[in-house]
Amino acid sequence: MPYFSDLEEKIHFMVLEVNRQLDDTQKIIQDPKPDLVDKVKSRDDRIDNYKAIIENLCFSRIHGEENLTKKQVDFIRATNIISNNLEKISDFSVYVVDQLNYLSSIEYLHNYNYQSFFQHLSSSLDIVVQGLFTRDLNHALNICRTEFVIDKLFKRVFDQIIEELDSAENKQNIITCLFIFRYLERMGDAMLNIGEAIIFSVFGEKLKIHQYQALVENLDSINNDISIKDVGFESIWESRSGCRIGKVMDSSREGTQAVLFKEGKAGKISREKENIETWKRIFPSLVPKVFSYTQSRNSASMLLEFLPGCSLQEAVLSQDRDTLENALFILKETLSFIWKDTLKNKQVNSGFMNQLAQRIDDVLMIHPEFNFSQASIGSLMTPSLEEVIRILREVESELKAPFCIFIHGDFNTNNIIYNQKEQQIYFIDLHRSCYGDYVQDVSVFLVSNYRKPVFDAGVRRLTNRLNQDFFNFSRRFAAENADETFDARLAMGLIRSFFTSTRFELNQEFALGMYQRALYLAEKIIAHRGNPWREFAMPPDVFKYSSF
Amino acid sequence: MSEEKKFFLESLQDRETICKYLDALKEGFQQGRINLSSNEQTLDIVPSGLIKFTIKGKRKDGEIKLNLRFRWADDDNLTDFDESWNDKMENDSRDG
Repeated sequence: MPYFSDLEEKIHFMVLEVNRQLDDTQKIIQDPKPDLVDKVKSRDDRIDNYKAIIENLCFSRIHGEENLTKKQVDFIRATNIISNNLEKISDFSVYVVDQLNYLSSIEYLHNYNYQSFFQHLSSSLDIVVQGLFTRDLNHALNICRTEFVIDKLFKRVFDQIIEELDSAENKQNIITCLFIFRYLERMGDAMLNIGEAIIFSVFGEKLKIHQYQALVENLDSINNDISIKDVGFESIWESRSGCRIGKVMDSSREGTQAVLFKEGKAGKISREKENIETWKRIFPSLVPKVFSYTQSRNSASMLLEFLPGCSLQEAVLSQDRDTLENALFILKETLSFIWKDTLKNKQVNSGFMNQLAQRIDDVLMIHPEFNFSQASIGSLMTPSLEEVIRILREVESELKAPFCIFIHGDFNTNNIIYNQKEQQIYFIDLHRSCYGDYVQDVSVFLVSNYRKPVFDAGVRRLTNRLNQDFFNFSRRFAAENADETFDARLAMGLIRSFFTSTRFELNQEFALGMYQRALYLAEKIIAHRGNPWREFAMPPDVFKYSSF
Repeated sequence: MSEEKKFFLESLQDRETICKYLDALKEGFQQGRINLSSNEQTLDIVPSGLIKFTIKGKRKDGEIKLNLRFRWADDDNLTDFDESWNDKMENDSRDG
């Protein structure tokens, strides 16, 4: 990329300086000569300077007048990340040298294999420039692997130190050695960041090395003949649950179908895969196909069919009334089928209050003022939050769903895709699907419409209508199936969803509105205690937004 | 300056539950004492003497506001004022 010759030149020099820094640090460990120590320290200043210059160049180019392509911006960003991490390596070298002063004899350090650390770090640094300039994924991967190797080397030294610690005469020496190796290990971490920065410059997306490897493995397993370099990766979103989701395309061929790559914790991904299989048996066209699945110790990933269409939420936001009406019609048809088909005459606990209890600390961390004590206005007493939740837990133990249904489990309108051409609804994000209380899906659906921080009157009118319509539909189903406590359970579900949704909402007024709705319903439920739950009537309008 | 004491409670209610709060206030006015308390603050107020009562209603942009406001002089402050007045009067009479 000759366009950035100034930047390339500086990063090239910086890499060379850091390599010399490593080389001299190793020499000092072999034979600590004071002039060499001075050299390492003054070189560190120079390296700091390089970092500052590169940062200036990067930011001035990005914010300059020229119209840079995304690829050029990605290169600049990668270069800046690399420069930051090179500077860290240089700092760690200085720390290592400083630590040597605490050893009564340098010989102590010679008991351990420090040479291999330097050897791996140095050969990794040798390929950084070429890897970055030629966008070479193999080099990037080799750089990333250095961290893995360094970690193994560190583990060996660590075990040796722990073993020797008991019998060591001078414990300060041995602990100092541990500190020194810890800095060498952290240099490995910096190398990993450098490798990942190169991967970023190639893909234009921040992929962790294990995510990249999982992607390659998945593509290999479906006998795809495309080269990984031709794969276009477009991040769809990084969900709150920590899964990485991206759209993968073959950028070398036009018209090829995209697939979805999903990577995350093994438990979650494998559960989703199993749930997709269950959904396939119930309603084959409702969920995406799984093309491949791979699992390592802690994480798993899969390639899924990319389902074309828009989410129900997008349909609401675009205020396309026709689309929304069609989508809602098909959604209700689909749900009618699923709810009837999977209904099992087995009572089930809704579990809303457990879900609330698990998230209460997160809510109060963001909104500490939501925690309230008991209050009184003359003779009228209002209970504390803790007391409200305790009573609601008791209520929930009296309130069981009369039957269970195979539910989505996270039925917010983002997870419902509508394909207008095929007149079809799809469900996505299925790791929470299970046989449970369908009221959970209903309450999550209603609150997901409410909690979108959009205050446009037109959009709000539409969501209010959508919610009313969906509520009527669900309530009709309840009546047809003799579900007498639907309203009371829905109130509990709404309490849970309104309350916990505030943990993602920093707009104080909007969050307060949701929180007050939760408490309003809680007061209604508490006041109703002692009467039959079938007589509880859902207060109208509670899931409709109003701006006062 | 005297210490400011505040009690604040805001919630969503409906017609039925609003009445519970109004009843509690009504009862307080009848008894001549309203206790407002939470863990943070306790405010014991004694409505007495003349009370300025304002009702303000407003309808604007699809929102309706109804303000009820009760204001009166705090008894404690009144007593202080009375005592100083009385002291002064006694002194004046002695002088006379």
